[in-house]
Amino acid sequence: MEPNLNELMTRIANDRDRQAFSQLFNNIAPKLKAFLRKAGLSSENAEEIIQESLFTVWDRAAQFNSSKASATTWIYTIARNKKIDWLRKQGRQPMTSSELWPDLPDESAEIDPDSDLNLATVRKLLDHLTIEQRQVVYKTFFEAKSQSEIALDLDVPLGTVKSRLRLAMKKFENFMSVN
Amino acid sequence: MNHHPTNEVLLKHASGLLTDSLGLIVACHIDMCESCCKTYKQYEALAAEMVVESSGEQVSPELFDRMMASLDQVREIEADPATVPGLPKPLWRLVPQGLDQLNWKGMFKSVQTFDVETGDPRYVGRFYKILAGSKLPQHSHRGNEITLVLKGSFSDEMGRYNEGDFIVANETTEHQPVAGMEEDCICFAVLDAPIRFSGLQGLILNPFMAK
Repeated sequence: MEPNLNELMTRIANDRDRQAFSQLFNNIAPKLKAFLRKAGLSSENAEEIIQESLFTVWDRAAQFNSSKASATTWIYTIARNKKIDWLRKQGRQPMTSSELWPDLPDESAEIDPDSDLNLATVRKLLDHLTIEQRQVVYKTFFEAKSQSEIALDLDVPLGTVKSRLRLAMKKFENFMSVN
Repeated sequence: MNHHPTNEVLLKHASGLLTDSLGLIVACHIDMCESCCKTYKQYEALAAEMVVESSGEQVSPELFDRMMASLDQVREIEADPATVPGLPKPLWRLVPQGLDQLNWKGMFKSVQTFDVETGDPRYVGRFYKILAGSKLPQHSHRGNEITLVLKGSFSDEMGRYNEGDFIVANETTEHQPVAGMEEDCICFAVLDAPIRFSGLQGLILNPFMAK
């Protein structure tokens, strides 16, 4: 069974629980690695960024607030931000993560601490898409591919990629406006 | 506020794909707009979900051992930039002097500009100050320009833009902005660097067409 990351985070924050951290590492590190590798980083550099990210997770565990975001989202944003700061140090990006993703105002998007609602809602959202739409969304936003690359990948006309993405975004938009 | 980035732009930003001045100005809008902030956070959760849904890639065992061995070491924490009143958070590091202390330049008193050094070779980050009630000459754009109203308001043939509005202009835009009478209008804009007028590709541009 998948460990509950929110629970692990709570144990890390309250008890400095190393066992919880190692479980969290085993669960999330490979996912982060895939994310960083898709962005074109070498295995070695990806692991360097994972190390920085997960040290931050350990060091700042007390700042994790499950009523504001799920543990998954919180850890993801840390890794995404570390990636940008790492690229900036290499002279490959102009902006710092504090410019692109500053701490946002607290009043918005409170979530139910017990149900991991944010994640549940988002899963539901992805489930609304057809397999074809989901594929295009995944390639566009997770794999950072251009529409023509996706058309080649899937062996479909560019127009098909565009319309799938448009329909998927339309579903997201409708969903966002009622939630 | 009536003009916002599209959902596609918000999701791209949440996915970490807008890492230059485009991301900066989107982040500024999110900082000023409660509704986009809320939507944006949902998209962060969606981006995170795509990451955890992936099949993953094996990490080397040494990484785990190394981390467990130095978990309790004290690490340096980078300081956050100092607060600059009146500016969205993403601009705090770039413009620590604040809006009142900008070294405005311009031939006319009615419209002045200040270019900020972003380190981004592809785009210029520019502040505009249009005196209350002043009219800019009719102009078109040689490239793409995204404008965010920080203070006051302005109007053109297409509509009226207030604090927080996110406006996209390109080669096809021809307009004559007029600042509102109530106060000077201050905007932050990101535009194609002169060396690269056709810099933005349709792929990136289209999602920026304001709602």
